[in-house]
Amino acid sequence: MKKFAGYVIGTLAIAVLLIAVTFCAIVLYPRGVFSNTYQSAIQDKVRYYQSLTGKKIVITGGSNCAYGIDEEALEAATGMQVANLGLYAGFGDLFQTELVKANLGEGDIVLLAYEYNWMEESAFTDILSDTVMSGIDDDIGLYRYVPAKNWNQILGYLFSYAEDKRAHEANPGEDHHYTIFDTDGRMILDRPDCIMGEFTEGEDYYNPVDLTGVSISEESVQYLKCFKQYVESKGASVYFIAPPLWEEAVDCDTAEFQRLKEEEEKEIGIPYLSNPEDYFFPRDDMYDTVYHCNNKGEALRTTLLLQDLKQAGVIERSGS
Amino acid sequence: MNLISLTFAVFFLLVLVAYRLVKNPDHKYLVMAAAGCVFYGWGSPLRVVLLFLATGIIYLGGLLIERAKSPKQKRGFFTLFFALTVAILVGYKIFNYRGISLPVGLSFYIFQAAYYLRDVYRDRIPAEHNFLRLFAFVSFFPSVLSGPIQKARYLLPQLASPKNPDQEQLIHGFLLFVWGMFVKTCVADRLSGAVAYVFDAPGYYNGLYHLAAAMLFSIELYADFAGYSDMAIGTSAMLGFSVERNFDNPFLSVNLKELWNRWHVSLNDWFVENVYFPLGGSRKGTVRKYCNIMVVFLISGLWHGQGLHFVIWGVVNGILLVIGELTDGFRRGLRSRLHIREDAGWLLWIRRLIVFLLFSLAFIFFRAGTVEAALVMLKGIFTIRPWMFSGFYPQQMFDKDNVLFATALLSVLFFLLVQYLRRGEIHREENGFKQHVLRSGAYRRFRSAPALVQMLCLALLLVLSVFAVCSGDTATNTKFIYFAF
Repeated sequence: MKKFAGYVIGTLAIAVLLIAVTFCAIVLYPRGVFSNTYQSAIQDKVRYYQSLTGKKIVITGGSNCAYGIDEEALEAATGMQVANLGLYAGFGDLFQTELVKANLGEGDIVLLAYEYNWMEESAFTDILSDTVMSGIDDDIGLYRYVPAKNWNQILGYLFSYAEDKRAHEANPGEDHHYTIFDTDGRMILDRPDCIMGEFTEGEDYYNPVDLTGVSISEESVQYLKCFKQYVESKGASVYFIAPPLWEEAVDCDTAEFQRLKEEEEKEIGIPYLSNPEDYFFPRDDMYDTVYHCNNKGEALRTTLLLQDLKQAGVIERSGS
Repeated sequence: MNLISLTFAVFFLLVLVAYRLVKNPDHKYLVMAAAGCVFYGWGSPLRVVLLFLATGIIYLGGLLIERAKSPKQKRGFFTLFFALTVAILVGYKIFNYRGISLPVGLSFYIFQAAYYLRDVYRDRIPAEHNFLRLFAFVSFFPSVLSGPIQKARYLLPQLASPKNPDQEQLIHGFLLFVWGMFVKTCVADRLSGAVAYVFDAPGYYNGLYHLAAAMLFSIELYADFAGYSDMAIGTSAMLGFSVERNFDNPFLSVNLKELWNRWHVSLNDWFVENVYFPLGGSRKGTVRKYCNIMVVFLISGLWHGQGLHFVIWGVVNGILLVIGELTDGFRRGLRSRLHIREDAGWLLWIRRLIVFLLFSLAFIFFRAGTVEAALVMLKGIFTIRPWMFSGFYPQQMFDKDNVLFATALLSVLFFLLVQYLRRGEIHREENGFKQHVLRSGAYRRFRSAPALVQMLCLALLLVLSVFAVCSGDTATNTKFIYFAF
């Protein structure tokens, strides 16, 4: 029996080694293939976040955070460092949220600014392997923020990722990283105007938001409850904030947003700081999608956010 | 609980340890009984009630059969309790037609339970007086979900007098398990998408694609079912149990009669012993023999499902088998007049190809889902024209993914090659018990390689299986086709 156990353990060990070697070989060679992509900015954002010491405000969510938070203004008003991890809903809310664990400490404030599909069943159960892997690229340490239960998705996509790398290396396209973000992952793209036309079906930015009858999935509730416990165990606090939304994209009774806010607070227990309707912006404040602000909208959203933080006592409790 | 899951790996490890820790052989069956409960009831504990119900019926039936005071009474008890046992399955099949889901594995353990009654009735084994040991037989977890259906006369004595497996049996079992998992995940599952491509929309494709899909489905089904069977047999071997084989290189058959003796052997044996022989078998004349064959295939078709296409599948197979039997003499005579040796290599391969084609054509009804769709495909196949070959791109069935097509093709060829190398497996026969795989030349050659090489080969199969399972929908990838029956 001992020889058999050794045989099986040896086989399993070799299998694990083969998987690890294959994984490292594909991820690490060649390096930096996706460095010019939008999603690779996540490496800079996490690196900057991990470099911070002391109390900080940590924001995560989709690209509404990248295109709608003036980090410097927030830092100046609060006296706290700001780490804006929000980059791309295409990663999945799960991965974006797990990144918060990279450097959470006592007194930190976590702000969750998810776009309005976070209540769905798969929002906190799945990751989107293609975008996560191309975003992480060869920064292999970031894989520690992929939950263990999602590693099957990474392994399953591994060979397709190798194919993606080959194709991207052959045809890298324009720079969507360094022209949009600085080396700390903060947006530097000048967005003076809205570049969207009418809000009509057929346009690539057409994305109406209808929350009629939508309720928060059990999976989302469970995950966010666990996340709240984690944050509080670190001595930090966590809050929901509303994303900016082009008012024309609101495709339901605005009362549904209030209902969702109340349901979230009741089911999950994370305070919702914002009044969602305050963040319904006109076209003049938007940029290229229903969740992206231009310069003016970003300033407005940041101001509203500051007001919400002060009104809720979050800043006064934790601030300078 | 699925055999391809971390849960099963942990479960099996615990069972293996518990089984070894119980030193008294008279108590080991209790571990198997408990394991059967946990395995079958995982995720749905109420299902275990059915196992106990089936066991209760055959337990009582076995005792009454044994104590019957006359042959007539004995036959009466057997008929009653056999009917009661099978009625559970028939009842669920009827309810299944009305939307109530069939508990997974029901067919297989009901058939297994019914085997016990027949073996007691035929005085092949004494009635089991130990209810839990009988339960351990019915709930035998390696095969409870999808077979191989075990005969009581071979498994019950092993439960009563268990033997610890030797080193070779352990490794052989592990090898079979890993091989079965590879075959399921890297062969069957790679083909299922390509098969579905055509079967789900036959009207969009011509006869060449229909033919390709039909042939691929035969291989997919073989790989899926044989893979599961190997995993079940391997699991049993690691616990020291020798169980019935289920597939014996069916595509090496030179006629359909041989194929049905090599395909899903345990189910075929069940139908022969419990339907064909009681109807008279071949003892009541040629016409009656062929009628009995048709009845067996009709019942087999009905067992598979409610749709007319399943019935037609069964009937078509029966008709093909009967025609094969009827023309066997003529074909032998023809070969003799043409001075063609029966064992000529080229002839054997032509005959195997014809058998495979006939088998695949009949299985179109099985897979197509409706008679109409099957007929569309058959019409397409029988109207294949030479010009279609120039426009035939099999990669299209694999989402135009050349890599996927190439890997699927390689894995199928590898699978068929290894199965071919396994054709020399020794089957120890004792009173008709064709024990699966003791040793084959291929296995002996593998085991003679250095241990590191063996582990590397197995590790490669494992790694490929892991990547295959992860690359798709895990829930689908690990589900075996015959769970549905």
